Amino acid sequence: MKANSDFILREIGKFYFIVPMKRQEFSKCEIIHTNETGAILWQRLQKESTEKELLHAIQSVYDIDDLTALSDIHAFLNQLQQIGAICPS
Amino acid sequence: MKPEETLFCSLMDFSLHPDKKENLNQAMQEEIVKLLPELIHIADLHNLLPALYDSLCQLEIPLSPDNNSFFLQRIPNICYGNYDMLGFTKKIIAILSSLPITFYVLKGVTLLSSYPKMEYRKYGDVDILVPEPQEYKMAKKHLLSLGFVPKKDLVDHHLELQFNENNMTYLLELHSKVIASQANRFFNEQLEHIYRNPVPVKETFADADLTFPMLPHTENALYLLLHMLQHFLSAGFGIKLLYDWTAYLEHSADKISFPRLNDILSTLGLTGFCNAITLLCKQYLGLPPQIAASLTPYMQQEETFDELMEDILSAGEFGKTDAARLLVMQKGGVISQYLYELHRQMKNRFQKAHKIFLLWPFLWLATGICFLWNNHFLRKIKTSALLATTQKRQRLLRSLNLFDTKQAKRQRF
Repeated sequence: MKANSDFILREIGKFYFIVPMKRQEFSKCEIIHTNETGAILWQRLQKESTEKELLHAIQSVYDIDDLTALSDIHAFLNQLQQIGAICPS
Repeated sequence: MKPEETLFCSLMDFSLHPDKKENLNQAMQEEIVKLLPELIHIADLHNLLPALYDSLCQLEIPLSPDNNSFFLQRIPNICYGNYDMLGFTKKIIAILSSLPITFYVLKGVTLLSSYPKMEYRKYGDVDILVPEPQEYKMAKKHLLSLGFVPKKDLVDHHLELQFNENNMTYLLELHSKVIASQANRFFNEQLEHIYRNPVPVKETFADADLTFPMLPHTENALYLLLHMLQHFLSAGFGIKLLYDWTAYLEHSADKISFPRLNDILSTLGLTGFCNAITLLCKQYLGLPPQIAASLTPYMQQEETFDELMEDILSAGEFGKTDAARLLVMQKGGVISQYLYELHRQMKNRFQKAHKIFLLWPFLWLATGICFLWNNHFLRKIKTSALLATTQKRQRLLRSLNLFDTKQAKRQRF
């Protein structure tokens, strides 16, 4: 899976947003407010990524077990899927 | 200026120039921690909270749980609002691009590229200029047919149109002129000539893949000054417009014809105003000296404009912080000028009825009653307090030699 290039990551202080800014039209409900973990995952998704690669991206920054990390990853991917922010493989 | 005001300006300078971190030494950073509540209050007043917050994070200033909670409540909402307005801007540009008209985007997205981050600039509405009267009518008719609803306006330069979608209300200001008519007829005529269909410039906001038409950069720079002037002549304006001016000049200096701009300013009697604004931006917001010098070529020595800066700091955004700031008359404070201003306000309020000469006495009375009523019930201030503030701001206006064209050669553009 890979990030949809219509969406870009915006960062201000400790706040991160994934915004479909390149779309011709978009609305507030297509924007995600995320955190540092989400930002790391989004950066990794700029190229084709497997779940394992996403797990490695998180665990290279945080000392976190597989189960917790995968739970976070799935929740985040679910959010992205709902707004069309990731392209399936 | 109070210490927190000076420090706030230093932080705004840093937000515009993050590579100049050395300008905020250790002592200043300690002061930031001590004066944080005051700094947050000033940023909130002037609608610059995101710029402040991002600067604090970049400087790694420790934030208390209360501070973090405050920013968590405010910053995401501001950012969402900005992204949403960007989406609305795209929609408006697509709608108007389908018509055979020439239009220009004012402020908004034209400034976003100038900012270090688009989130720094609160973006509450979309302003579009359509100067050709028939094209303006066409644009208005088309927008109304798409469900835009006009609001009643008391100004003669734009129409406010509301659009409701997804339980949100968006505001579009459709301008027929850049600013409202001023008391000076020559000034109005010159502006009409300058802004009679200049060739639009296509600019791109790359982050959003958005290409849009805007005024040529010299005319756009003039517009930003006129916008500041318009607000200065009503209730005032805050740091945000100085921030706009600094960011825009730095970003677009190579596209602005400063000799031409200076000529226009001289003819319009705005050289003093521009000098003051530009020097404040140089002194407090880090506008590079060489750019400031392009706009202030005839200043013999550095003046200080402390009184103007005090006025700007106390105004908040567009003078909203103080209801007693509502009146500045352009021609002085004697009784005849108050009557002249009454007449001008009457014409603004009754844009059709004032054309009937016989109605003037009744319309003057109605305007005066509205003024007193609004002061008492809406603004909740004494008229005497308002007039006292007016006189203070009048002195400030005189010190800027506004509309003083005695030294200028008059030329048509």
